[in-house]
Amino acid sequence: MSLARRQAVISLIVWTAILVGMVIDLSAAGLERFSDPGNHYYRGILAGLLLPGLALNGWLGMRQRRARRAGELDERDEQVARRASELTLIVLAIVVFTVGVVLWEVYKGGPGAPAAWFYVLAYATVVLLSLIHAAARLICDLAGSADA
Amino acid sequence: MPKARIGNRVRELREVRGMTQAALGGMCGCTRQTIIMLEQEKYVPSLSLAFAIARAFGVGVEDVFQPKGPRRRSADPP
Repeated sequence: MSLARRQAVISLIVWTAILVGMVIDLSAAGLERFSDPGNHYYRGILAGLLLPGLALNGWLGMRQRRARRAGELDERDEQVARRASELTLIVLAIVVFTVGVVLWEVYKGGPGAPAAWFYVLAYATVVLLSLIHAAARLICDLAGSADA
Repeated sequence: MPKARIGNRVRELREVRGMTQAALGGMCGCTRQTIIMLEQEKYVPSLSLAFAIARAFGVGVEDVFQPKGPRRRSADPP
């Protein structure tokens, strides 16, 4: 397995685990009461969950720079990463747009959407960004490249 | 507009010379994975990589890479 593919798999596993942890944390606290002052414990866990993922992203970034200098990554890896970034942007935009429209549809008749939704949306965007990018890198890598 | 496809003889030329994919990748400055994708025609290399591969085989770039004709889409006229 090439370095680029191995990194994508590791990233996918770690960010999937973080997403699962996030869902468990949100379920335990309850979305409607997530922003209550007494629930700061769950909000702390949610913020803490991101740390290993962000540390991993930083480490992978440094490793990639070293690998590029050492010739372990080549032009195809760069092309795969570019294509994955394009795909990630499109998918993430669709997800955020859809969630926004759904929230509008659900809460338009009431006093307003619970503040927790915006907290969740902010954190979910970070998690999904890394998760979708890892999955897209893996898919593009297995497919060869965008223009073959 | 139909997209031009590029075929190649990388596997054939490599096997004739008894080279491994890793060795060819090392000579051209690319990874073994890229050579695999090239041989499966799932990747079209940059000009610089195409020239490096041709140089590694000691032939011209047109002896390794050839256009395969356009890939027609259903909307294109025959």
